[in-house]
Amino acid sequence: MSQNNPLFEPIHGISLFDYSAANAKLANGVGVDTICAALGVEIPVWEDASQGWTQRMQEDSDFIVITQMGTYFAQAGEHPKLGGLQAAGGAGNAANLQRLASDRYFYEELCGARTAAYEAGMDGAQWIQTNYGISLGDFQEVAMQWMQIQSSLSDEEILEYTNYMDAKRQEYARKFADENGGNIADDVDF
Amino acid sequence: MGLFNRGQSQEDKLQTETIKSELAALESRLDNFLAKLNDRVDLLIAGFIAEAPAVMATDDRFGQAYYRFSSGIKGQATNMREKVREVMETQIEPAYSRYADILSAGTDAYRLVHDWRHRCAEKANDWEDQLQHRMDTATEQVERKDYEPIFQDMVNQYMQQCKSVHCTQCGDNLQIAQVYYHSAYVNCPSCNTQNIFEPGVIARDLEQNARKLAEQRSKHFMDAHEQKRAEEEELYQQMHTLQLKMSFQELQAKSGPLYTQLLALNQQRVAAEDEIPVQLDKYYRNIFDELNGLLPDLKEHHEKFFISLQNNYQRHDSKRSINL
Repeated sequence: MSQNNPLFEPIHGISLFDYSAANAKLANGVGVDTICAALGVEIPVWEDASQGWTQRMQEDSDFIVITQMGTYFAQAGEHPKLGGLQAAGGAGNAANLQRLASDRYFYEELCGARTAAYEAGMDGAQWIQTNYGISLGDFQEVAMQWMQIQSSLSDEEILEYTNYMDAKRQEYARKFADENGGNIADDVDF
Repeated sequence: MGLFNRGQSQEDKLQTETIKSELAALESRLDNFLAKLNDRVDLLIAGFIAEAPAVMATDDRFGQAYYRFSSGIKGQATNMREKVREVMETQIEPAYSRYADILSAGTDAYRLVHDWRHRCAEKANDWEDQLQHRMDTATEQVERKDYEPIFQDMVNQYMQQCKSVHCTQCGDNLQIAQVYYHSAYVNCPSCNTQNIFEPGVIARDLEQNARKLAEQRSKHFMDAHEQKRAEEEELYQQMHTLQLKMSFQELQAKSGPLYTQLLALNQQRVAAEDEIPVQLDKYYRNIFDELNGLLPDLKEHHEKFFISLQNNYQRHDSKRSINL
């Protein structure tokens, strides 16, 4: 499908796989200079292509470009030029990242914790980075992998994971509230 | 014999009174609980409105501090919502089940318990709706901005900045007249050297702010769209109420004064329903017309974007199926 569709034509030689993998790396803290050097383009070329891909997604009423971008985003590590790029701070916690990609319950727990952190007025993505050494880009890359598996799950399995995530969200919400002096209505009882 | 006119026994009456008294006490506790939570909602919203401007004033260009702040406020509202749901699950529903399981359907006591549960659920739902409405109104108030001066100021600053960009080779002014939304190659008009022009943060944010301004200028169409939607819903409810008043014979015969009234209401409802997508279309068309005026160099993209968007909302356009 993508081979004959003009929406997938590379822009200034930058393919959708390049663009998607580059965005995964940018979200991981890899600098735009490093990305451009690996792709062999100057920043103005990258930025024009980047704007072009954003426009393509906006002009695509069937969402096929953005769907494919999600797939490529999850495969950023396999990109021949960008796959091996690491942020200046290093690769993060490899063991936790591996667990995130293989243990669905761990992934759901961190999703719940992240939501609870935002609801407590904290930076949820930063909380995961600080406590588990997993960057936002790596987390989203794994999220895309789980999302692709989602369609093969039964309704019962999906409900089980959703309930688990919500239970963890509430558990972490309690923990964060305790750390921050409680919620505004904690002393209001029935 | 009184088989079909059996009155309540003394024992039944006593049981009903006992249940009534217990449920009234629980309902009163629910009322107090919701009222106390409302006091906290008042505090939360007052704090949100008072503190938001200071958070926004020192925020970065992505609004991350405000995002965290408003997420925290919404988190507190979620916490209160969950408290209400917990009370419904652990206090109201068990009380209902305790009696509903032993009382015979059709008895006064059963009706009493059933009505009580319905009333409590309504109170909880109304409280949640009211909370949502108040949070939405406060958020709208806090986030409201006049994008006319903001956008104009950004354009002025960008143009001013362009006047002082010079060629790295010969030093002549690059005479930049167009908007560059990101770094770009610009040839020097004097020596033809290719320069890399970095337009800065203002130019990068221009498109997003133009969109907000265009939405602001088109809001009256969205208001009209929502008004037509509400009008259609109201007329549909009126039709439903009228149908409940009509006899089976009137409905079957499709005649009579109430049926005529029903047809008139439906005619008005259909007219409102037809206007819903028309107003939505006007809203989006106006946004893109405004954008074409604000950022004319992106007109080709705007038109493709509009068609894509239009395909999507037309795909979800649906009408009620009503057979009178």
